[in-house]
Amino acid sequence: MLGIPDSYSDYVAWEQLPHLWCAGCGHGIILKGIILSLGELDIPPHKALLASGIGCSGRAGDYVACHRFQGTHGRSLAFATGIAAAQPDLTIVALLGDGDAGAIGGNHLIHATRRNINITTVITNNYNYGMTGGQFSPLTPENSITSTSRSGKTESIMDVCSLVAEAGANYVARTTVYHVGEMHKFFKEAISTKGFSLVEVISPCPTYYGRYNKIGNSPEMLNWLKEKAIPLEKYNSLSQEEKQNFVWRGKLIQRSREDFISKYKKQQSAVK
Amino acid sequence: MKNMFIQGNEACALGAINAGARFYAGYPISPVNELSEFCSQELPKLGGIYIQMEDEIGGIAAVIGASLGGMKAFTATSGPGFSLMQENLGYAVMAEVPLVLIHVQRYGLGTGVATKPGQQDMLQARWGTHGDHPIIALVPSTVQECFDLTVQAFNLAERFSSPVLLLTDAAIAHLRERVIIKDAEELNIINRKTPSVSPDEYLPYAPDEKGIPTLAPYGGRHILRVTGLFHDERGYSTSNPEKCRKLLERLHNKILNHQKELPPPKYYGKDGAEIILISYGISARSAREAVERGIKKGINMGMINLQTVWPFPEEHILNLCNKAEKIFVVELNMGQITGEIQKILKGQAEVIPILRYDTNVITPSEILDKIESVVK
Amino acid sequence: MKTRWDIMLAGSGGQGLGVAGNILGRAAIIYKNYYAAHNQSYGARARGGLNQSTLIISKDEIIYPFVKEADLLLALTSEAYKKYEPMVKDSGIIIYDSNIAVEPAGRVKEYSFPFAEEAKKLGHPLGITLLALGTVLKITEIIPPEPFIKALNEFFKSPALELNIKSFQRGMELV
Repeated sequence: MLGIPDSYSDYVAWEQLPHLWCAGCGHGIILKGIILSLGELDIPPHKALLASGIGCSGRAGDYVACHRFQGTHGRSLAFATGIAAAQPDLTIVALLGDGDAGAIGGNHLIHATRRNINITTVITNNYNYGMTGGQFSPLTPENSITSTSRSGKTESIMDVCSLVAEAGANYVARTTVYHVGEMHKFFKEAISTKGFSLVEVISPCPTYYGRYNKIGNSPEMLNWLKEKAIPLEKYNSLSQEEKQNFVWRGKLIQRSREDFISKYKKQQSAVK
Repeated sequence: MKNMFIQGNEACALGAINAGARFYAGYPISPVNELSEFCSQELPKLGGIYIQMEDEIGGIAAVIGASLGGMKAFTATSGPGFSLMQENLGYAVMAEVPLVLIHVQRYGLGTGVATKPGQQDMLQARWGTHGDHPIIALVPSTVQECFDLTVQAFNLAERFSSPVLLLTDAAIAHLRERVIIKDAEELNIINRKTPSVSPDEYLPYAPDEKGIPTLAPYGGRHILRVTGLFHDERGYSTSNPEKCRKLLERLHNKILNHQKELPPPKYYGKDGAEIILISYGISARSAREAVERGIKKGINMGMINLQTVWPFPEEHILNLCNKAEKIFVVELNMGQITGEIQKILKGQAEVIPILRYDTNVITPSEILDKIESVVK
Repeated sequence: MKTRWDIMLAGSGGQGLGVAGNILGRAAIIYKNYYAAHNQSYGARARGGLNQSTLIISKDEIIYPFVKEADLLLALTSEAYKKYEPMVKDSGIIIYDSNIAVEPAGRVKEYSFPFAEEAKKLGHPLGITLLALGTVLKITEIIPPEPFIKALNEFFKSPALELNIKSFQRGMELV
């Protein structure tokens, strides 16, 4: 289905494999999608940086051979703001988890978006904190069973895509690990967009979320994602009540607000 | 070189800029604002960048990012902001990121008293972040030292590949004094070393003979891998016990084995005095005045004005106090540095604290009265 | 100049006490590269109410940089006069606005001039402290007027510069 560019090998730290992710986890698919996109866009490893945070997704940096930055929990976008300022020509992909991006890093997400820092953010949303034992995150659907919501999550879900769209992102899309072709296309579009872009990828965590919510093992979770995630247009045509059973996938926004550093340098040179 | 009449906050900003800093990120807080405002105006003129982040956590994070991108970078804050920065400060120690953090101490605990001075964060500066770690912290007592020690802080950050703290206080930050400002060309500036091996052979965390890694900036052919997890020389995470222990020891030894390179304390008054005052920051100004007055009254006394507070300058203090019978430690807290002095001078001399913690700077008369009441 | 002057400028927020102290210190450096140390009120106080700014000018190094006993008090409000009069040395001087409601303490040498009235006449009430400093320098001869005017040039641009120089000179003429 996907053409694998020759340079693919150059981005992978082969000696670091096998990875630590559980069998059936979606993180590997997402990381591979990012790497393939960088290769296809001809961004050499030394011009690419993978910034991650803490949690399962945070470990992705251990498997890449391009520049790697792993920050403290939730702060990756704040760190990357400094990196992007110092190295404006670097392609920065921030790979965050749902807890990383939505909970502890929620404020940095809003402000990196609002500032329009030239970063592509990929949120791996596996509906829970996998590394620490399957607790719910803000991006976990309401009523979900998790290790800290045994009788169902009381809080409502945070729609991170709508949030960053409202905050001014230049590109926002959502898909799932099942829709790998679409994911790949979104990654390439997001990386090619100057300014802040974000792709949320819903990903199976069979170890915790699938098990707790009786969805099943990895193939069953993928099938579940296939059924659950419907195109944005179709989703929009549903009634409020019907919408409760689905999650949309697709491209929410694409625009071209000037990014922070370009605008800052222009403004400052005008007053000199 | 020029003579200026400026505040401590401005002298710190000028020191940073003349040392080569071109990136500042932070969050507004009293009593630091003259410093950040100065940076917001001056850095862009030099092609630099000022970013006002969403909080102090983001401030130090952006500074770490910019430093790894190859810029000399710094932030400044006060009590509550310093608390928020602790996690990422520890990250910078772990990842060996050169940066300067200027902490303008205000009267502390909780939200404190925002415009009044204190020296209540001396031990937080040493141990505020979790985990065993080394830290370098400098303490200026004059506006001139605000400039000079900021320059040194940047040099030490690059030399040791480490964050360096500059601990001022609300009084010195707002005090305006005559200062000699040296231009960049007149200063000895240390810049980060660059890799001497090919990109294929490059290991970002392989230490040199002094225990210092060579962090090539992001975006070059030398691939930089940085993580806050314990890591190997390639920059990939590890939990190997031997590798963890060795890294932790190297982080300490790279600084502790080269303490001679840190600014030594200044000594004022009679050599080999029987009575010695030890102080730092704004309270050292009062202590030194008390010594001048005491000597005029015929008291055989001297004063140690710390310039480096962490790692604690134990050897210098032991040498300077070798004839002392009574040591008075003057500080604006409940005895934080007094405890350190007691630890190293136990049995050798009597250590007596002279403390003030009511938002005001201690006065020379208070200090001298206390000494006279003990000594007479 | 005598070896050292400990100066206290006191009044209320918005009278430019901080910047005036800054300028006088700068002028002392321009004149003879004297040592100088300046402090001013901060926070909410700088925006109103009792406000002060202290300055030490010295031929020798200034070790303790805060004013505890003043050689000179400039008081622009009655509140300032009452609060800081006791801090003036017996050998010191007080210069105050003649229109403020105070009973002169009479302990030290005192002078009074209608600073606020004169500043208003010049159409520059914000220049009151600079106007008063004209009087202060004329009486005390801490430094000559030329370096002070030079310092004003560093701080202000036209038209504020001309107004402030005029205020300062008017202060000198009052004596």
